[in-house]
Amino acid sequence: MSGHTPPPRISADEIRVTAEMARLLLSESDIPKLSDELSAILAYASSLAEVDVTDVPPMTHAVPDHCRLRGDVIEPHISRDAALRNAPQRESAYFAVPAVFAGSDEGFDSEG
Amino acid sequence: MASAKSLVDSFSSVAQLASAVRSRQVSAVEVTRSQLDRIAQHDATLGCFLAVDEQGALSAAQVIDDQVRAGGGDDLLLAGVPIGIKDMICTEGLVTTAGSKILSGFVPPYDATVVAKLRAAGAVILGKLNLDEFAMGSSNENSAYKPCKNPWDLTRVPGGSSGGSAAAVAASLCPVSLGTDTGGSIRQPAALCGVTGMKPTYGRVSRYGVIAFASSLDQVGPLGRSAVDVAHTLQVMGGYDPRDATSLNQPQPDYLAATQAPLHPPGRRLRIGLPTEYFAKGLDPRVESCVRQAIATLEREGAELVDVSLPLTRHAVAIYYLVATAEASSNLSRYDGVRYGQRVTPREGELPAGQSALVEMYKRTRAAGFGPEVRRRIMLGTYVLRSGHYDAYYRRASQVRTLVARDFAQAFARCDVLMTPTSPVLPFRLGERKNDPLSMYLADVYTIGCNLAGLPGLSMPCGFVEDEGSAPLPVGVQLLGPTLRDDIVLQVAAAYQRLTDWHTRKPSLLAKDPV
Amino acid sequence: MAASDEFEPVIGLEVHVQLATRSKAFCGAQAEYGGPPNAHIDPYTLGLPGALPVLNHRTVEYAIRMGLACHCDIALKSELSRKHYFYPDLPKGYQISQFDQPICQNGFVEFMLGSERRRVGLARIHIEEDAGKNLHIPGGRTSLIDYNRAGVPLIEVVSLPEISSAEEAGEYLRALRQLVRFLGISDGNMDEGSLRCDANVSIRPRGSRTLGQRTELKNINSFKYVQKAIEHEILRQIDIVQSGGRVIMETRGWDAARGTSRSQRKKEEAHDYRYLPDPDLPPLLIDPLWLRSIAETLPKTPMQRRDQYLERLGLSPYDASVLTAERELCEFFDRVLIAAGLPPEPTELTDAQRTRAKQSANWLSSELLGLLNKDNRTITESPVSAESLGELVRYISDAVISGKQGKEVFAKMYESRETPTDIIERLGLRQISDPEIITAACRKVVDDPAMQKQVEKYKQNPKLLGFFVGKALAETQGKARPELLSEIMLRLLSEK
Repeated sequence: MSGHTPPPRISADEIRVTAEMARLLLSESDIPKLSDELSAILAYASSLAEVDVTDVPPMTHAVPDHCRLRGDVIEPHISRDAALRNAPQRESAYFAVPAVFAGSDEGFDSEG
Repeated sequence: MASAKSLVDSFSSVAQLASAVRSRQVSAVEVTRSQLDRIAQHDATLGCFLAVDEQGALSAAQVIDDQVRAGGGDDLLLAGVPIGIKDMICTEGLVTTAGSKILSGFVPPYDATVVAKLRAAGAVILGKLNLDEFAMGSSNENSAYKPCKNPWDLTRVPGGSSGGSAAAVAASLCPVSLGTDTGGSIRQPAALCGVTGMKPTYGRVSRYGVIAFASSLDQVGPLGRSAVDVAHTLQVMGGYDPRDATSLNQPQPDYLAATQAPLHPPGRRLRIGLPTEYFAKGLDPRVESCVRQAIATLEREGAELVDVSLPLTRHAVAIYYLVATAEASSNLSRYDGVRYGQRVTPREGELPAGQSALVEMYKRTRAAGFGPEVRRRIMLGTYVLRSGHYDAYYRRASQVRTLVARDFAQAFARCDVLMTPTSPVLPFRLGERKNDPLSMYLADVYTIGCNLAGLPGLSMPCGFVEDEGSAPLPVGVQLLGPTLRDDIVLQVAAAYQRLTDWHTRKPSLLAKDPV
Repeated sequence: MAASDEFEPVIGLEVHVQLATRSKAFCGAQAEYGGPPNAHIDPYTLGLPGALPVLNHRTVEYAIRMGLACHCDIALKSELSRKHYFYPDLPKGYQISQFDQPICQNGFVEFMLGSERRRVGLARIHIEEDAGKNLHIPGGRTSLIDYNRAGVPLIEVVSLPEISSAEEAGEYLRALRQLVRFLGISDGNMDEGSLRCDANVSIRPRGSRTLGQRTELKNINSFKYVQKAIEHEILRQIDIVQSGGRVIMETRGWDAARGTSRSQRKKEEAHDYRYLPDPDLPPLLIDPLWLRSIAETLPKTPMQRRDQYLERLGLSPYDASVLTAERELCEFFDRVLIAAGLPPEPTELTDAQRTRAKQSANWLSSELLGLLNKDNRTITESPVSAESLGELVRYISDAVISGKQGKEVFAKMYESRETPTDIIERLGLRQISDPEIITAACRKVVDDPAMQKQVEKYKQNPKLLGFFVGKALAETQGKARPELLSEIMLRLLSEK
């Protein structure tokens, strides 16, 4: 975004890739509209390129502070019933989802 | 249907109400019942509440009364004070939706820290207040459930996102309420509804149990009839919380004492900073005129006016929409239809070839569960965090944010508080701006800087204006203080309210307007 | 080692170590392994709306311990970031991890590869939280999720691509396991998933300096398979290249049952994790005083122990390896040495003391560990205490009993848990070392009139010494120290 040229319009493909990443189902008719709206907002935001930020640290937290730590102690849990009560689908004591690997007879945990 | 004066309105402050309950002049159950009646009478029109917890409220009130009758309850600062909670805040056993379909029916198994503190102080929770979905909006029109109306003019918006919280106080459905403020979401609806609302310094109030929109900007705060009520409520709900790593481990000032202090700091005159960029193009001259009169009121009392400049103000909206959407896209990843909330599963045969049923479940759940504004912001936030975009958007915005905070720090070297309009415009009509997200975003220009810099800010009514033959519509003035100086913001607000009576006005529409 | 003269493998390992804290990394839910499904749950673990993370100080302390033990630079300021991806076992749609500024950087791990000392460089060690577990019913349409493990603290130890054989990878991993156990930060149990390994494998023409295209091998979660899986991958890549193909960048899952790997994800589908500094967690600042106190109380590493055993005690490399296998064993051995009368570190040892140290090592490694192994017991379950074993070594070394008697006493110690002192007293095994008593016994024999004929014979035939020694020993009921007795007997006879 250097040199303050407005960013290029976000293409339909970019919208599709982003939606896939965000796990949002889009209809084909949503795409041009989103492409317009997002492009307009980013074009507006491109004014930030004018600001000299040399050696300026990013402010990722509202108040400068350090990460306070907790003691390694066990605190109250919520009961399993309470944990599962809001589940859209459950099987006995487990949360249930459509098979992680459709057509596979094997499951993997995420990368951890 | 006559709108009897609310029982609560016969007490000039919530402190007085709590004291009456503690001394058994009035029972908590009586107060609660009168508020529930009022809600039953008016809320179908107003749409302030997404859930009313009649049973819970009455039994909580009964517990307070029993405690008082048994000779206890002396330390209950909010004994029997009815309160409404923005539906962004988790309440154990009471449905909490964030105004979103994706959380429809979600019953939290735990209380937010602020809620637990209010309950412990004897407050009676009436129910959950309407809002823009996930607090994303400035008009309450993004609620997935129903719009909320401005009690001063039912054709107009109450502002947002804490629209229900502001409208409920304005309509005397509850004397105080909780809101959340990410870019003005307490102050702007407070302005549009003619009530007092405060966003404390970031970290003063725990965010534990508060549904996250943009974590580095979100802050919970009270809305009430006066700065004194706001201070009283803040005293109870604020303070360090070990469950929130961003909570400030600092002693809480005595907010109530601040509201009783004189306008001027000891030994010198109060200096009020007027940022030139906040009185610029785009500001409705009728709003400006009310705000200038409020400034003049304090000037007459001896306050010194100082012109200050916040040159980066013109970038505030851009920073905000990059930072807030980036954080929101992350925070809203947890709504995936797995552990709680709504799920949409593709039916047999609906699954595109080669597509996993699980991935399809995610996509359908999230597309159906989130409304258009939330989807738009998730898309923007996801886009700006993508590898290759991060530096140009999120990182750069965060760097300019640093400069914005420095701007404020420089301004506060020359003054005690800043006084500005809260919203550049009067309450607009429902539907008027719905289709232009960017112009809606730009209306947040005066409130956003405070969140970016983590400062305390307050809005209170400073006049009324008729718009094209409407009933008088409230105008809000905003006070901003330096970091951690929540007390001085309350001090100036309370002093102003001792000099004026704008905050005591009530909308008359309800009486005339049959439900 | 993958047999090829033409190619050499280049391997880097990413090892996840589950930390043995009581509560989880960012909340107060129980971190213990197992338990009934979805029992170790609180609002944070479940990613409930509004739940917030607060970092467990022990997670940080353990990560620092590991960093210090691996000679890393410890960052006084580091950053916690969110790593985004959707998966049912990941409650929030992101994992809290470290990206830009990890808590430990650089450093190395040392270990023995056969008799060779090897050093593998580390890129970083960072803190992160674990995911829950997906259970898939074979052939089923549903996966089940248990979030007990979600939020359990992990460190990820990322090596440089400096490992040059599957065998070395295996040893490196064993060394890490041993290290985390010595540091007391993890049980290192691969079967329970406390240690999990991903490998980045590439090959290049032998002697080349450039790196080939790598693949990532996932799911190699047992020591048995680490070597096998990497070996297999090296051969697979050599096969591809030799048949004129090109290795593509991909993630491959090891299928232990089939003894083969298969592609899980090609590069084009690679995740974009959209890292974001976690706005809920301000920067992690380490107080230098805290860092110093962690360094000062850092348990010794296996390699430090090994060096100490070789150099100070003069043990054989074999004994040193055996005794540094487990921290408990080292600690047991240290107590044996003290009980055997050796001065504590850092006092240098005399030759006699080194001999005694070696004797102690022998008694521990061949005698006690032999019996424990036979009985399937660990050192912590030993019926012989370290103090008793040291005492026994001392009795033998001071010649209070003979080595042969020592074995007898040891067998009884193991059986009855009695101390050697009690056994020696009870059995009256104490040797007589008093020269006066022994001289008296000897005199009794050589001065016996009935013996004079033999004494005369002795003067012609010194081989008869043994006969007199036997007689005198019988006079002491066999308790006299044989060497001393024969020395005295020799002197008396020569005086005749």
